[in-house]
Amino acid sequence: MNVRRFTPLLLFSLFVGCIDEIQLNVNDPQERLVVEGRIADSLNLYSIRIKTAKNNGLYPVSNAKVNVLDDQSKSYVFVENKLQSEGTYELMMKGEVGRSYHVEIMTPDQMLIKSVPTVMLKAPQMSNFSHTVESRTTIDFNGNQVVEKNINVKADVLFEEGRVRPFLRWRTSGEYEFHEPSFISAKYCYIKEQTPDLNKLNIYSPIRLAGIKLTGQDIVNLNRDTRFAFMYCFHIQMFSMNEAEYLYWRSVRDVLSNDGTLYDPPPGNVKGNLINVNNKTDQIIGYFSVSGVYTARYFVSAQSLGGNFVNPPCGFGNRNNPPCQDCLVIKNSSLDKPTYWP
Amino acid sequence: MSCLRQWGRRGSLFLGYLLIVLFPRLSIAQDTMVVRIGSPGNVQDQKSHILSGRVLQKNSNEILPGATIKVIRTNQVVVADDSGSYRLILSDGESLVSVAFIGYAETIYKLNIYQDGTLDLNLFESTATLKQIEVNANMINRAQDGIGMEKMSVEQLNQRSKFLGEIDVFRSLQSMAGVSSIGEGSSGINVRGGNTDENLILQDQHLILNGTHALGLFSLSHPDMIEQVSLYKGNMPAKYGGKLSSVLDIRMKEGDLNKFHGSLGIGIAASRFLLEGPIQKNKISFVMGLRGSYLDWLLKQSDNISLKNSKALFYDGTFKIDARISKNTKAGVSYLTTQDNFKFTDEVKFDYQTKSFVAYLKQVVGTKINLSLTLNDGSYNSNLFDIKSNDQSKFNTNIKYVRLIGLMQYQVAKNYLLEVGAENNHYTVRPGSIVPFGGLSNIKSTSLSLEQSNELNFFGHNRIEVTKNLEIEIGLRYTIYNSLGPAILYQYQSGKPKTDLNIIDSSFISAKDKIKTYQHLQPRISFSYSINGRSTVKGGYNQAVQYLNQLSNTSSASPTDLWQLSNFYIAPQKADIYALGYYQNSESKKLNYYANVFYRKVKGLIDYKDFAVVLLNNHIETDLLRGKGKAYGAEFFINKVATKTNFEFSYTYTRSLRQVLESSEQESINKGQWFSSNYDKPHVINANYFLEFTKKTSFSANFTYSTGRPTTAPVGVFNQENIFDIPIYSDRNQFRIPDYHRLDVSFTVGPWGDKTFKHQLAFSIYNLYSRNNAYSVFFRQNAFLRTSTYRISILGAAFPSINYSIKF
Repeated sequence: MNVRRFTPLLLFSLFVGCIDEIQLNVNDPQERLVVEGRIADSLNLYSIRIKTAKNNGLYPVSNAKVNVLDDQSKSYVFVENKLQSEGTYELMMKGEVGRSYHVEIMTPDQMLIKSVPTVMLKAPQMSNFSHTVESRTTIDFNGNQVVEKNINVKADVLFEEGRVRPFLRWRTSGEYEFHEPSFISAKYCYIKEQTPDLNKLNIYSPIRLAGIKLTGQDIVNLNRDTRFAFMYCFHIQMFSMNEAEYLYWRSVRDVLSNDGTLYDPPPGNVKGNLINVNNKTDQIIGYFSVSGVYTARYFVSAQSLGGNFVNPPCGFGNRNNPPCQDCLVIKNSSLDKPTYWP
Repeated sequence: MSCLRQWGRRGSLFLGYLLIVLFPRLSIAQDTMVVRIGSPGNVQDQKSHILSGRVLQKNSNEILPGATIKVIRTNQVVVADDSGSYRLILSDGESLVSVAFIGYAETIYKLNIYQDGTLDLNLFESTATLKQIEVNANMINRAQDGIGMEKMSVEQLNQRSKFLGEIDVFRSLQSMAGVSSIGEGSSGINVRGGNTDENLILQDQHLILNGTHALGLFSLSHPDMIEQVSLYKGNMPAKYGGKLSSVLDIRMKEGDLNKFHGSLGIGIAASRFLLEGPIQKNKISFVMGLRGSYLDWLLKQSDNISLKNSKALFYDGTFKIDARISKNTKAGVSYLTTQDNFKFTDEVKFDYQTKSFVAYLKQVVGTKINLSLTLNDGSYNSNLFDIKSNDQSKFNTNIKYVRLIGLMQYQVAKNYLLEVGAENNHYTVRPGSIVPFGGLSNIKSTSLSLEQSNELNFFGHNRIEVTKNLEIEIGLRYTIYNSLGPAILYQYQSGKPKTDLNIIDSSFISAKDKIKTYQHLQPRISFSYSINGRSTVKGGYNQAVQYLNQLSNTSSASPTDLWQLSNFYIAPQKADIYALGYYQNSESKKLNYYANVFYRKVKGLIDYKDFAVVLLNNHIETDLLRGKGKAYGAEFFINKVATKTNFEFSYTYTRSLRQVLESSEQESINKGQWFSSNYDKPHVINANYFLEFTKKTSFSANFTYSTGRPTTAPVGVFNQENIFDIPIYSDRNQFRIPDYHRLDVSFTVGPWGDKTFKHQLAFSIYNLYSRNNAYSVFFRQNAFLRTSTYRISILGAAFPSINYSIKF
């Protein structure tokens, strides 16, 4: 809800406009530590990544000591997975709603990093999933307007009566079915999306919510393309969070959507919940999240799209494409039908 | 006579000047008066003498600012100033002097002058008017403008760039030295490194809070109604106040007292209509101007469904009635209404409106006193709609104001004019309310409490001709500002940053109770010293205080931005302004130039924390920062006029810097170092060329260049959750977008036709050489994690337009 969303489109529409690349010499020699990680109230393998950002690049920080502590001083030691991902520290664990957690990191150069202790809040329930097909206008890099159709999944969220309503964030991954042409071998593949979150960044503040039920909330938006030719499954995670984390993600969203127009606020550096104990003016980038989580799956079948159905990807003219010859060439694909697949 | 009336009369200043210069034989009636001052062989052995005095209406002794006095043999022309005063340098012996003013019969004075002296020049009212005479060239003489003030007549506006075929006040002002804008599609103007909300914009005493339509593409003022535009760039008379940078006084014309006539203009994006005439001949006149756009219609022609479903339109209407109740009394009312509506597909919609009413009464008392009383009741309202998803809602903010201004002008002596008065401004601001609409909206209604304030000003301004060469102006403005309840006043932990986490208590202030009182004495001092009749040095010091600010956490103010009154936590902004200038006219009067230097320092300027929340924030002070600012620079201007050409060139060097330094890093910007404001554009060049081919065809070209505006660029990046490449930004405004330059041309044919109808066609091409000026610059990561910079350009190609107008 912002004038700046509208202004460039109006000006583009009415007058001649274009986008081109220009040279602007930007360089910054400063080195910054980046920390990010999350724990939640479900048993899972959680990871905390530590990197250094300098000269437009990211470099992993190895051999750090990483502990998550709760409000009873119970320590959860995260161990670096050097073989698979240097600078990534992992642990299988489960958090407890109502308990407070923070992370302590000692880097190899003896820098002590701590996050602000955060209480794990219970995630509310979701229900009434549905989807619609919606049109959206965007401007491409050539300045042309493009109208695209999206699958928009919605749901209701029911907050608990009389309790503090947490702020929310949805992360959604996807999985879809792919059929080779029937007269060849008729293999069906099940392909997991490579993107860990199909959303750009979907967060919600309950501050202006009337009542305890949030109805028709947008959960995820995805381009309607051949992935929807047969069956698509959305794996939805809804995380609860406190106001500080919400403000962090809102700042991230603002930064990511900043196009530097006259109607954009000046971009700033997103400040997380981590501090360098040895030097509090040193800016540590990133966030350590402590959340409750609610998970759900939602299927979109080709039939449910009605008139907005999508033609199968291996129609006439496309049958010689490699995936139509062997769908296993698609990354993250498998012939094993998931147990939850209808 | 009141200042309002004076400004009205000044509206004809340049017109009258040119009429006398270019059309000496078009005078309606010429009376000749013979006057002798001194006697031959006088003890003063001088070759030239100074004659000064005032231009007055013969019977009522009403002063006539803007009347032109021309020495016929030497072509020396001067214009009576605000107080109707003039000063001439005449050769010893006989001189013929013509005195003219619109609506008055020209009078010729045969002067036999043998010593310095004073003489009031009298004019009789004429039933005919000179307004309809077309003039085609115009000489700018800044030396004769008031101290710190620059004027632009409708003819000068006509010679500047036309956007979509229409003259445009804000775009024309940007061709003046010291005036710039942030860029294409931005609202408002920046004067000498000041913010857009630091300009006091008055249109016939209507207070204008948003002077543009269509996100800055068009100015608010009806082009055919404009009589004169005056811009005070720093040295503001004490009768003006409440803003730090400038005063823009747009004077609209009064209706014709004798005949009905009007005009119609048709352009590719908007059309306009004007009608004026007598309600009671020679007593009461009216004028009304209407304007409307059909940008909406253009959108409908698009093949794009989204654009077809969009809306973009504006309209405005200006209505004036002026009545000469008696020879010494005049009264009038005027009403201004504007509306802008925008909608983009089914995503976002917003609108904004200005409504303002003005009534005035002016009285001449005796021969030395003019009184006036002006009432202005207005409002500015904006609505922002979220029309998509389950957050469907309408956000509204508005400001209402009632202004009452009383002014007395007293001609204490021939060389001494005193202005005293009082001005009371009452503001009511609704900082924001949100209401749901649509059955599925999850939004709950929220409304922030009203904010009110009262600003009472007393002012006195002295204008004294100390010697024949030296004129000084000394003014003082005293303001008592009260922030009024009802309000909730939050208390914060002392010594800690003002954040919502540091709120320790709150108290409720009842309606009309005073929350905080601010009092300010604002001195205004300036001088003008004429070295030899052609060279003038001007300078001044001004102090100004601003109590009403626009909260715009963006490079350009948006029409839906909030207006914020000074309150307990948000103290007024205060500026000290220094200026010094040298003005020179050539002997032939065909070349003049000036150079100005200025320095301005501001205390208490408003800035914003990173990711500040401005909308629906009931403790806005937690997201604002206070700092100080400075702006300094130099302006150079040259104007060369010949029989059929007029050339102007200006160069301005300006720096506009800010410093926000508080005890905590959270409340500082760029670690407390000075940094460029969003509108810091050091180099600005403007060149305007006007050529009259024939009486009915003319050509104009306007070139502009400016340094690119500052921007904040990413200098690094980090990835979070393997999804987001989050940029790490430089210090605020550390870099600049590319420089801006553009050439516009226009070609005008006409007027042609008979006495009843006169037609005119204006062709114009905006951005002739298709410069891709950056509207904005944004940054994206490429595959190698390198930051690439992209430029969005609008109006990036030559944009032709045509405008047809007819006068009847």
